[in-house]
Amino acid sequence: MPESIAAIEHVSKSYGKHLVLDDISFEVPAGKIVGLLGANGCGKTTLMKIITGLIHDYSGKVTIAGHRPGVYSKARVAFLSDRSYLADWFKTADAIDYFDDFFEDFDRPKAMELTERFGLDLNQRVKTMSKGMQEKVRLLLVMSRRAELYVMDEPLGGVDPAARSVILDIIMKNYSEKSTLLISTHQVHDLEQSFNHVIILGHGKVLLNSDIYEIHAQGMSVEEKYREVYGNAWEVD
Amino acid sequence: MLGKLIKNDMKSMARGVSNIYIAAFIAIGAMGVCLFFDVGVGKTISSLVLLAVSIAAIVVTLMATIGEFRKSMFGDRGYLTHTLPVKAPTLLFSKWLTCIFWITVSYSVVFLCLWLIYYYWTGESSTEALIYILQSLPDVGLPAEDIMVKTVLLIAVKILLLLWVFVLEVFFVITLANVRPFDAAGSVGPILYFFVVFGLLTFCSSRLERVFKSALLVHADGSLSLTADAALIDSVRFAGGASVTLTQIYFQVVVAVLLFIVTAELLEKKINLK
Repeated sequence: MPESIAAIEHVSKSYGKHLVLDDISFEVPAGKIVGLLGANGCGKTTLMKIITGLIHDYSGKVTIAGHRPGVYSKARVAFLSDRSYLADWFKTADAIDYFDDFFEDFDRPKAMELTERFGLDLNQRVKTMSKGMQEKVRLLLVMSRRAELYVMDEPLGGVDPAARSVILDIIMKNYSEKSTLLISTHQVHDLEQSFNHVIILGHGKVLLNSDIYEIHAQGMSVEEKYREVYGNAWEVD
Repeated sequence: MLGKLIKNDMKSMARGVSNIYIAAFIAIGAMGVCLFFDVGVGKTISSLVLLAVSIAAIVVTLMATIGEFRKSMFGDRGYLTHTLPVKAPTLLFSKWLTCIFWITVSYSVVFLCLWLIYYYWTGESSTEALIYILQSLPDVGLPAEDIMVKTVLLIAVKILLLLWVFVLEVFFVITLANVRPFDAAGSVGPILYFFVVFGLLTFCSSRLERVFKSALLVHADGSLSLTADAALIDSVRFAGGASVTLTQIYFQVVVAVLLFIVTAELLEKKINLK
């Protein structure tokens, strides 16, 4: 297995005059569960969109498995966005058919199993589903892929504590162990037991890029380290 | 992949336009019932409804194609579209093929509805009268019936081709409006850029027609030929034939290819989904 699945090299991205990512460079270690942490507006979603090929207008170089974001990487990267990207008229079955059509790594039997597990109706249209149900559909679609890299943008955002446990359980039990998970979250406490590696963004920079064991070796939890790093970052400002 | 894209795009578009075609079939059915039972008021109302529905069909289809492109490429659905392992030119080609299919269908529906309305009201005897009039056209210096029919069909095909290019112009301006720095214009951007692009292309096309005359000639004997000779065009018309200018078509085909390439390039390298 290669050491890193994705390499971000001197990437900068601004929205107008607002510089969101300022010449950042790091590698996403392969086969690990990587937490991408940071305050609102620090660039987590922007970075994920660059990796998944939704943003092209940036400077620097991004490679996934040695390739720039494109057809090759998109076939290997599964993106769980917080956006409702399914057509309103899609039924759950239509969404499964769609993913089965376009992604060679899509595991249809697993998708059907997760549909049953989530208690979803295959014939229910997205427009008649609650927000939570739509999120479950998106989650099952992503977790039914045998991707090399799963990029998840706030998978626990806006979800009640009971549902968070279920979602986390589904994620951890259904991703391929050879794959890499890159998860952005504010719920550090909920996920820190699952992370192997942590990247903290702030003020356009990478404030921390560390293996979890190194943090624990300092006698700190991820949440404590986050507060320390962010506290210092605020002081710098 | 292209086949799968077309399949899914067709399904998506069908959902957006099916209602208007269902309305057209209902209106046609209502006309048939009124004709069968000779209901006078019903005939009038159903004819007016069919006329309105036929015009609405092409307008609704155009709006639906534009809306579908915008939503699937730059709305929330774009988060799925742009993460598919498919090249941008393939995505664009599928969208364009789907749009021109439905536009062609709506175009055909308009002609069908207009013919039905005409036949419904005039009946067989008046159709014979129309045929007599068409056959008498050469007596008043106009091209004969078969020449007129061929010319009208060629003009209809020309308009349809121009509509296909129009779709690409719209795709281009919508894409442009989602690229820096053109996205600064906000929601007004696509409309603004469309008028600029459309105006520029129309201006260039009219200038080109003055310099380079190309036409498809429909000779008096019914044969077809191409020419760039203005004198020949006039002499064929004088001899009872007709012509359909092609300069605009050639220009629009070149424009369409260029717009396709530029739009695909913008999609591949410049868009930022919000």
